[in-house]
Amino acid sequence: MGRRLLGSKGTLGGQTRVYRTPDGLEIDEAEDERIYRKRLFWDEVLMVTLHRAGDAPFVVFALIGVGMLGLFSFGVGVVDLGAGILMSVLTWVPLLIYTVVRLIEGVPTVSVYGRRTVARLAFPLRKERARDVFAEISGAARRRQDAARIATARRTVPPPAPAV
Amino acid sequence: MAHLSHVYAGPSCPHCRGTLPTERRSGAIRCPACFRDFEAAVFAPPAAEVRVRQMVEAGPDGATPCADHPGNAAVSECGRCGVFMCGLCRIDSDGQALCPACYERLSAEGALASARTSYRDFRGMAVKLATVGLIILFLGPLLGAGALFCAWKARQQKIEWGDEDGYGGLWAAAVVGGFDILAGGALIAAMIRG
Repeated sequence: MGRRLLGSKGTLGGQTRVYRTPDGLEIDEAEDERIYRKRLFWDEVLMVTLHRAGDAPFVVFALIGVGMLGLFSFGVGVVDLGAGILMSVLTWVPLLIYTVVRLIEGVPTVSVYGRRTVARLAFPLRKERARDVFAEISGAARRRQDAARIATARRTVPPPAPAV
Repeated sequence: MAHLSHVYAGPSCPHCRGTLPTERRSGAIRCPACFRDFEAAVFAPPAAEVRVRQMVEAGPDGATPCADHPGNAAVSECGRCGVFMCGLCRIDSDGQALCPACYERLSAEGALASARTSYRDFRGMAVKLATVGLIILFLGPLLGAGALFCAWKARQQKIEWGDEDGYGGLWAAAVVGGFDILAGGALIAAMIRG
């Protein structure tokens, strides 16, 4: 089994992609033309959370984009009304709808806290996928930690006394 | 080095990053600092257990002492330098047992794949070069060729890492890079002809 992309999270500085491997998660942070990799093993997971995050930077940038595209469409519409309406329908109206829906719904985000690091995965407009990934990560960590606990218990159990 | 700029201090509220009470249970949790809710699955991972046999248990003929811890019995020898190691010293990495000194040296040289933590981001470079080539079209042949090269290197990286998905972006960058070359070439040819 190789690596499978579970999700990603964009920031102003770059993008973080989280992959599932047999031993845990690999967190690839892309920044300054380099990828910095961190690993979070299943037997180090302390907590997995699911919440709806706000996304102020995206909303600000999207509204700036809506404003610029709206002005451009208005300029085109002054010359040719049909072209202006078409440009609006294709550009700033869908972006505005997407931004408003994202603002109302929030961004379902899964956070995985380990002993040494944390992985964050955002799923805009994909609530079900976020829940599936939350369940997948929780299940994998629980299975690995239960197996480790059983193996430790087996090692510490003393051998049975010889029959008399 | 922004990736090193914040220090991780353990589980916190995913909303406000505030500290949570040490007593946590799985289910719905309300942060005591920001009063917002989130769902959590809480784990108590078992502590890593290293069993170290003492020399006094085994006797002088029963075991060989570890080179760094003479009181501990060696469990294996280093796969690179052959020094005897106890369970505390032994590091299993990339299919071999190494002593701490050899592990440090090999990871500093980048010879251990599992210890490497930094790679060149060929995928990101391919996307950026292809996009800039679209905007500055007369540089398209140069930037497009760069995008194609980076997409090829990124594909090799993904195969090496065992990635099962995520190849779509590379193909898109390669196609746009090819377009940059053709369109930029056509533009330059038209400019030369006048």
